[in-house]
Amino acid sequence: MRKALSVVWLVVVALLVSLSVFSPTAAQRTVTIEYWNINNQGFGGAIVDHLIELFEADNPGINVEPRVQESYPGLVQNLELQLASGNPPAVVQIGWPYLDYIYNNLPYIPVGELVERWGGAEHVAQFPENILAMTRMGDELVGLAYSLSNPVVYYNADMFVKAGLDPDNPPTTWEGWLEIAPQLSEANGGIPVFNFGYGSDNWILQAFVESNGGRMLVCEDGEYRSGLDSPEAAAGLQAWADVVLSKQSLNAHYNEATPAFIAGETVTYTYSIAGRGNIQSQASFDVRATTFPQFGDHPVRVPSGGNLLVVFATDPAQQEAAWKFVQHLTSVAGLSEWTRGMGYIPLYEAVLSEPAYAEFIAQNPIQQVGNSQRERMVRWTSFPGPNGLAAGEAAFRATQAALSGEMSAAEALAQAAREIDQLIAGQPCTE
Amino acid sequence: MDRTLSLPTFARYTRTLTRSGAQFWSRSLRGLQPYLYIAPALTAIVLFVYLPLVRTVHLSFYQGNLLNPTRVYVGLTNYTQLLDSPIFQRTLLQSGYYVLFSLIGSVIIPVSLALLTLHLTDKEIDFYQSTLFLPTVMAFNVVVLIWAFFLLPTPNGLFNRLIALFGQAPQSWLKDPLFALPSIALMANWKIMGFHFLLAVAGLKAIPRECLEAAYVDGAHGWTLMRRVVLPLFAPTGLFLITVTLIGSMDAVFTPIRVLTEGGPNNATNNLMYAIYSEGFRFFRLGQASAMSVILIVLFGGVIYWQYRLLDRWVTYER
Amino acid sequence: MSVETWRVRWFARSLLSLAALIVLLPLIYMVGISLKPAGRVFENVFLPFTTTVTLQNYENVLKTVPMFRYLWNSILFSFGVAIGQLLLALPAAFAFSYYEFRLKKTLLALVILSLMVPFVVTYIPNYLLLADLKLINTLPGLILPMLGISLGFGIFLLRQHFMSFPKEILEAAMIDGAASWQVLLRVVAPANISAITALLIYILINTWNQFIWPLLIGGGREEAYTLTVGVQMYFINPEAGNRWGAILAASVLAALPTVIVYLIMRKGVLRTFTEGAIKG
Repeated sequence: MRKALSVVWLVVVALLVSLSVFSPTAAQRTVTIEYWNINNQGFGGAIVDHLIELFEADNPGINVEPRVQESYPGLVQNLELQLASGNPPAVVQIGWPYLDYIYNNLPYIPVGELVERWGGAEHVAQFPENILAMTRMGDELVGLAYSLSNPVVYYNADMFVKAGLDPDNPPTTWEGWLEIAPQLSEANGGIPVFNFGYGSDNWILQAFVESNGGRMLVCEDGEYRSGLDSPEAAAGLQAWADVVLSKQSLNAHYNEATPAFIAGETVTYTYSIAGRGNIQSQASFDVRATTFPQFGDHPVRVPSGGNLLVVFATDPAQQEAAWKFVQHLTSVAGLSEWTRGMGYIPLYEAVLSEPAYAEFIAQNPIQQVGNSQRERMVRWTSFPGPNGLAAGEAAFRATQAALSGEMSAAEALAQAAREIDQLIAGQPCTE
Repeated sequence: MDRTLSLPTFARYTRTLTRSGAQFWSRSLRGLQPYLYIAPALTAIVLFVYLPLVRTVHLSFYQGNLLNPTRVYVGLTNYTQLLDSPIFQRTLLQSGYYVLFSLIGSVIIPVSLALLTLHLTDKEIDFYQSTLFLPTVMAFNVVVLIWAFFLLPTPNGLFNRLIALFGQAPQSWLKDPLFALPSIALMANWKIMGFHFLLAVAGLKAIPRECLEAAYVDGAHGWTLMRRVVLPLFAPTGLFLITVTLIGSMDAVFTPIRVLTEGGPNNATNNLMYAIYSEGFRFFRLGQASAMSVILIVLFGGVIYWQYRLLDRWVTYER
Repeated sequence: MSVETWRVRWFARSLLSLAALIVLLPLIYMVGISLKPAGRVFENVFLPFTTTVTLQNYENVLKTVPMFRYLWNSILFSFGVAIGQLLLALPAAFAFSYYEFRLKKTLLALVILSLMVPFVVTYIPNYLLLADLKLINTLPGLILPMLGISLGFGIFLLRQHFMSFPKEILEAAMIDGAASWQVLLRVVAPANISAITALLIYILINTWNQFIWPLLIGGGREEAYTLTVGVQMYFINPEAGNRWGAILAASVLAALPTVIVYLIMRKGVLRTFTEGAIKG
C-alpha cells in the first residue's frame, strides 16, 4: 500500500515537474510555417507581406515565412525536393496547370482531411460549387482556389480617340476587332494593334481554342485524349497566328509584351486581369479593358489563371497553422485585399459586398470587366499523368510553330495531338 | 569550359608519366602516404562526379520524378523512345548547328585574328588579348541581358531600329525559328571568342621564333609561310580548340537558352544539354533526362577519343 | 621595315581593333543604358549614352533589391569553393607529382577524366543527393558538389607546376628531417605561391559566374541567392515600364566584382586561363 502510494506520488511529482518545465515553453512555442508563392516585389510581394502581418497579429505564436519562387514550374521543382528531404513547406501556391501533377504525384493534405482535423467546414461552404469544382480531382479537394484570373483585352483609349473611334464601345467580337484594326494602326503610326502576353504555357492558346468551340482535352471511351486536332481548335490558333504573321500583332513573352503596351507600342494588350494593378499604376495614358472577344457564335470560354493553395505540412502544429493561414488568405478580408491589389477575381459573393471591395470595384471599370467574365471561366487544362507537363509543352510548341509561320495551325496542332495522345495514353477519365 | 582545358595535355602526360617519375622519392616516401594525400580529393570527385554518373545510368532504366526517381522500372524504353522520337532527332541536329556556328565564332575567327598578331609587338598583342577577353570574366546570365535588350521584338529594339533603316519591318528575333538559333549562337560566340583568341595566340607564341625566321630567310613569305610553316606547327593547338568547341558548344549556349528562349520557339533553340535540363527540371521526367545524359556522355566520349587518336598521330608526325 | 610588312601590320591592327570594338560594344551599351534617365532609354537608341547621365537606376536597384546580401552570398559561395578546392587539390597534386605508387596512373586518369563529365549530367543526381542531405537552398549545398566537379583542373594545374619545381630543394628539406606535409606547406606551397594564387582567382571567377547551379540549388530561398540568381529574379520580375535601365544597372553591379579583379590581376588571370591548355 505504501509502496503503491509512493509510486503514485512519484508520478504526480514527475508530472508536475514536467508541466512546470514544459508548459511555459508550450505556451510560448512559436510555430513557423513557410508560404511558397511566386509574388516577387513586382508582382504583389508587398501585399503578401501585408497579409502575413495581419495574420501574425491575429495569431500570436504563428510565424509565417514567405518564400518567393522564380515561377510555377520552378516552384514545383523545389517543392519535390523539399518533400523528398522530408521537410515539406506548409502552404504552397500551385499554378493551375500543375493540379493534375500534384494530385497524382505529391503527398498533399486534402481539404477534407484538414477540415476533419482542424475544422473550418463553414469556411469551405462559402465557396460556390463551380469554384470548388476547379480544385476537385476525383472526389477530393486538392486545395482551395486562391488567385483566380482570366484574360481581358486592355486597350489604349487615347489611341481609339486618335483613330476617331469611340473608346466607350470597344469591339466585343474578334470580327469587330479585325475590322477596326487597320484604322487603329494607321492613326497611331502603324504600330501593331494586337499584343498577346504569353509565357511558356497554354493559357492564351486555350482561350483561343475553346472560345472557337474546340477543347484542349476530351474524354473518350473512359480515356483522356487531346482535343487539339479538331478544326475548331485549329481555327482558334490560326486566328491568333494570322494577326501575328501579318504583323498586326506583337509576338512577345509577357515580360516584353507588358512594357511594350505600357510604353504605347501596341494599341491593345490581351493579358491576365492579375496584371491590372501593375498596368494601371505604370501607364501614362487612359487604360481601359474589355472582355475576351467572341468568335462567331461560339460561347467565350476563358481559362482560369493564377493558383490554388495547397497544404503540405505533416507536423500537426504546422498543419493546423497552415490551415488557419489558408483560411485567412481566403477570408473575405484577405481576398478583398488580394483582389484589390492584384486584380484577381473574387471567389465568392461575400467578398463582393465587403465595403472596401465594393467601393473599389465601383471605381474600377477594368476590374469589373474581369469580374464579369466569371461565368465564362473554365479550368485551365492540366494534362493528366506523369507525362502531363511534357504534354503541355507539346501544345506550347504547336503554338510557337503556328505563330512563327513554321506550320499552319492545323498541321501544328495535329502533330501536337499525336504527341500528347502518346504521352497521356491510358489516363482514365469519367464524363 | 574549365573542364576541357586539359585535353591535349592529357594525351601527352599518359605517355610521359612513367618517365617523369621521381625515383628518389619513390624510395623514401613509400606506402600509404600518397593515398592519404589523394583520398580527400578523390572522395570529392567520386562523390560528386562518378557516383552521380552511375546514378544517372541507373535512373535511365526507370521513369520517375524528383520525389520518386525510381517509380517504375522500364528497361530500355527511355532509350528506344528517344531514338524513335523526331523531336529528339531534331534536338541532336540542332546541337550540330550550334557546333557549326561555334566553329566559325570560336575557332575560325579567333584563330584568324591570332594569326594577324604575328606581325605585332607583344605589347599590342597583350592589349588586344586583354580587351577581347573581358566578356569571359563576366557572368553570362548577366551580360546576356544586354542582348535581350538589343533583340527586343518592339520597333524600339536596337536591332529592329537597325533593320528599319533598310526598310524592314520589326522582327521577333527570339520567336522566329530562323533567327532564334543564330541569335543565341551569336551571344555564346561573343562571350567565348576572346578566350579562344587568347589560347590561339598562346599556341602561336609556342612556335619557336627560329622556325619562322629560318623559313622567312629561305624565302617563304605571306601565304606560303603560313601554310608551310605556321599552320602545321599550330595544328595541335588548333585541334585542341576544335575539340573544346565541339564539347563546349552546347554548354556555351545553355545560359542564354535558359534565360531567353527555354529552347523555343518550337524547339528551334534547343540542344541536347538544355533538353536534359528541361526533362529533369521542367517536366520532371528523370528517366528521359537520364537516358539523354547517357547519350550525351557517349557522344562526348566519342569526340574525346577521336581527338586523342588524332593528336597521337599528329604528335608522332612531329617527331 | 619593308612597305609590305608595314601594310600587313596596319591591316592586322585595324581588323583586331574592329574585333575589339565589336566585343566591347555590348558592354559599353550595358553601362550606357544603365546611366540613361528612366524615360529616355529608347531615345537615340543607337547612341549608348545620353547627354544627361544619372545614377537613378543604381539607386533604385540598391533600394529595392538586397544586392549586398546577394554579394555576400556570392562571396561566401565562390570563396568556399575556391578555398575548398585548393585544400583538396594541394595535397593531391603534391602526391601526384612527387610520389610513385601503384595506382598513380589509374587515379590520375580518374581525376582528369572527371573533367570530361558535363556539369548538366550531374545536376539531377547531385540534386537528389543534396535533398537527402537536407542541403537544398543552403550555402553548404551550393558549395559541396562544386568541390568535386571541377577539382581535377586544379589538381592538374598544380601538378604541372610542382613537376617543374627543382627536386634538389625537396631532397634537402627531407634530409633535414621534415615530414612530407611540412615539405608541402613550408617548401612546395610557398615556392609555387603565384600558381596557387592564380588558380584561386581562376576558381573564384568561374564560381562567381555560375548561374544554373545556384539557381537550381538556391533559387527557392532568397537567403541563398547569389548575385547571378538575384539578377535573374530581378529580370523576370514583371514590374513593367521602362525598366531596362534598372535591369542593366543590376547587371553592371553583378558583373563589376569579377571585372575589377580582372583589371587588377589581368596578367595573372590571362596566364592561368592559358596555362591549363597549353602547358604540359
